[in-house]
Amino acid sequence: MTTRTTVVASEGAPDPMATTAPVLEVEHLRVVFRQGEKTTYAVNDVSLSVPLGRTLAVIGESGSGKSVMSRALMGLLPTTATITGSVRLLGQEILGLPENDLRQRRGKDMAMIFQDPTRSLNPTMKIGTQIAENIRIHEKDVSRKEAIARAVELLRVVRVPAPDRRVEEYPHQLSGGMRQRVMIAIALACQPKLLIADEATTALDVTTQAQVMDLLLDLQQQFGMSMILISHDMGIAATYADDVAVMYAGDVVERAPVTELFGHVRMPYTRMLLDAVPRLDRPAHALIPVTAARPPDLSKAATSCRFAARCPRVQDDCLQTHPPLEEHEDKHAWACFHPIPLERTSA
Amino acid sequence: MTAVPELVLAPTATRRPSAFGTWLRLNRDLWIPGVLLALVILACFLGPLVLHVTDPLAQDLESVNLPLFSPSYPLGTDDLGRDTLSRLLYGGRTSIEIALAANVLGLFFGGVIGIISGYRGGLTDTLIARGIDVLVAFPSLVLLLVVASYLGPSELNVILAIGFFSIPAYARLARAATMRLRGLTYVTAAQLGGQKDTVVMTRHIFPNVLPQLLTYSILHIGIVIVIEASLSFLGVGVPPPTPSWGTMISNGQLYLTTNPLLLLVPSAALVITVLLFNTVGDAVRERWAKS
Amino acid sequence: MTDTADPILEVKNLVQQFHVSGGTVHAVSDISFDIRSHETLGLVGESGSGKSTLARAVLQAPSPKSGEVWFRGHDMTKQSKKELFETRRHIQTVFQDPFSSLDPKWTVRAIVREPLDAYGVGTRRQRAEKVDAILDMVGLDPTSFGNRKPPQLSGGQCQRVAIARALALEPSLLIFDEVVSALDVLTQAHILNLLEKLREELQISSLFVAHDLALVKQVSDRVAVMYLGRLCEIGPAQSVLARPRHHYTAALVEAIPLPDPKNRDERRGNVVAGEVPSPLAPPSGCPFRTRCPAAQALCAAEMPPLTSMGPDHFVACHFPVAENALPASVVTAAAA
Repeated sequence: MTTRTTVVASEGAPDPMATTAPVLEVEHLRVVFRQGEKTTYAVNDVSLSVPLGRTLAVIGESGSGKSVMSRALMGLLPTTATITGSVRLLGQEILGLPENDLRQRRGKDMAMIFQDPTRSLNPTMKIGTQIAENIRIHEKDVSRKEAIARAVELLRVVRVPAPDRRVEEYPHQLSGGMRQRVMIAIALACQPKLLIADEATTALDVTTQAQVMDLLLDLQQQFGMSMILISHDMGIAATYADDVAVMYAGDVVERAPVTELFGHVRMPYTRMLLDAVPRLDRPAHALIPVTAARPPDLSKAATSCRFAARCPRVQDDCLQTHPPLEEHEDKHAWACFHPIPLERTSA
Repeated sequence: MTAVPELVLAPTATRRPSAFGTWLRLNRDLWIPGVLLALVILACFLGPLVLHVTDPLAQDLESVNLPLFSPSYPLGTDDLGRDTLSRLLYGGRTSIEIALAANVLGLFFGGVIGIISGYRGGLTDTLIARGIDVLVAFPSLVLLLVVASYLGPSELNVILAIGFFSIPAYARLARAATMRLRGLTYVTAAQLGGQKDTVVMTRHIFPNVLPQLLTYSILHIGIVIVIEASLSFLGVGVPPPTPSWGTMISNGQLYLTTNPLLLLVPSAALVITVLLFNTVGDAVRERWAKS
Repeated sequence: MTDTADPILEVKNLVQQFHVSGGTVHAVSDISFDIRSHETLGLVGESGSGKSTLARAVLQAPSPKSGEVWFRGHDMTKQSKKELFETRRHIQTVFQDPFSSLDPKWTVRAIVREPLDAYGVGTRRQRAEKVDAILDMVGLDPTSFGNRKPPQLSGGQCQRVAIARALALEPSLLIFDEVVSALDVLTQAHILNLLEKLREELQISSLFVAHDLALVKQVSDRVAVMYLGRLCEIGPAQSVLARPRHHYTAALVEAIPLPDPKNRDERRGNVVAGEVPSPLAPPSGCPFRTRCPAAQALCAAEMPPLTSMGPDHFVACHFPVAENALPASVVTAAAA
């Protein structure tokens, strides 16, 4: 496999204090959809950074904006979306890049795997040909034969048994877990620096999910990648991520390293989400502490805390001002005026 | 970190149009042909009452084969001195009536047969599906000719004949839709809930298959109008002197060299109407497929 | 939960097979279990384990290939269509997909009233009153929701309607087939709370089918674990999940990503290898032997019978997991 020199561009934001520049830096990212009369504020002022070799989990329910955000990073949103802010990949601004340049960066510097591998694979094409084609898109001087040989090697890397036989098979001959491995192989073809996994294991069985997540973590070490895990599952974040960002209604509402976050939850929404996850250690027939409320109205820009309506700790100021995400403690940021006090948060 | 200037990718809308304005802009492909089609239909059914045209059967032997824009005959007259405009409007009425009636027949019987076939499955389905295949395999125009000439030319017989041959298309559509619905859990839930099969078919399956059948019927009307014209052209359709576009075309081709208007006017009406039905049908089908 | 309680449902040696172009799918192979009054039995398995097929076979939709299903003193597999109609009145089902399980053209009230109409319960007015009372019970205000149609409802609201429909005939057994797996975590929590409330108030017995082990643990009194059409382990939820004795159950417990980063490195290393074999050609003997860390020659030769491992706890394994063999982190988490 070819090695590429890491480009840490200087035109972005040279920070003399930083030892390693983050692979991805997102600042004030906003995504607004306008379609006819309907306006949807899908992502509001999200700032994140993913250091080299680390894994960030972005956790949220459907409608939290986590998938819209990941698609914005990849430049995969439709034209009805207005995207503002800054997204720097390896120090270089990629928001607003022409589609052609972006296509080059996609796959080469960053890649994405999705929930449904069947939709991303061509059912009439052999597995090997599909992987080889992806290699040849980015490396034009590779011969077809060479690309197939690399495809076999990649399948071996993603632990597909009997890879030299598998390259001759079609997607429908593979199980869901194997298909997702093929998608990972395609994503890895050009050794990206950043891999975004959008609910990549949600459709898989729990044992297969554990296998695939295990594989992703090994590959991350092997290739020195950074990863973003987009998921609805708190368990995925706790088990596989280094840093966690919790999203609610388009805002990042809490962000911290994994042990800090799960050890000292401060934002009431995170607490509620964590309590709602089915657990082995809860007695049978126990009730789950959740409050009912309508889902937040995303058609208006936030003027108050979006979680206020279902928050057990709500006070007057929550209804008047939108709490910003601020780093209140070392590396632990939350967007809440009345966070859960420390002594009560131990899980 | 240095601040990065905000980057706007897509221009934001400067002026917000009203909701109705937006609807009109987004649905041009539906409402433009729709309005035109409504005008054609209105003209055929109300035109004769409003425009004071002469009786389509009245012969004025002193003014035969008049050209366009003649006084009191805007579209001229035919070989017997009958008002072409009047015959065109009344003929359109006949053609559209036949098309609608034949469609209703085909939709109803085809729908019922298709739903039963798709819902029951097994032997019933096999028999019905093969029966439909046999019907489709026949050259239908030839068969229509046989049936129509056996029944004798009359408007009702044309409706029955075309209606009968519309059944397979609707039955296939209804069968496929039913088989898809049968796999949905609400049908299973109704069955497990003790609901009778007839009730499941009429109240759960039929209302959900109907939109698809109706959408198809708009496209099918265009086809039926052409078939009706073909039958009348071949002399087994609507018997003269009742006007229909088919009989007008059939009559007009006799005078192709002397008075081509008699052929061109009803043909143009036929083409435009069928085109409008097809455009509207396509627009509706596209929306249905999206939802 | 009492061991002496009479079973409300008894399944004996149930087998379900389907013939497809590639051969025969052995969906359910020789499964026996019972559901006692006022208890919830959780049925866990991954996709292809046959758990949903088993639930359908209990309902005789379609009827199993062989075996018996005893409900209220009658073997449902031998009942006529008319008798089955009467039996099904007492067994109601809620399905997974909240949207496809409701007719999009019907109003909420009509959907909930349908079973009452089908069984001709009471007068028209009594039925209407009953519908509103049930909607109220599942947390939907009849005046604001009664005349809406499913496309106007959220996933959670649709699932409440489906639950209301299942409750309309006052069944004694409810079958829940993956009822919350399509919902968001918070919505899921609301529905689970509702189910708990109904279980308390109505004293219903239920079969709760799901793929999520932690979820099943939370709602069930007893748990049955299925793999490739066979029953691996069945027993009190507490002992099955805190001290799993079948290697497959242990693998499942270890694969759950716990929402707690403690000891995660240890947990991450213990992933069971391999894939579920095809149900067209299940392995000889124990179906899990191809992936089992403890498999020996005997496992391929003989299907292990269900053996008692403790009070009410049965395992189908020749070489069961030793007690306390699981990592401490998992055991303490499950035993709390």
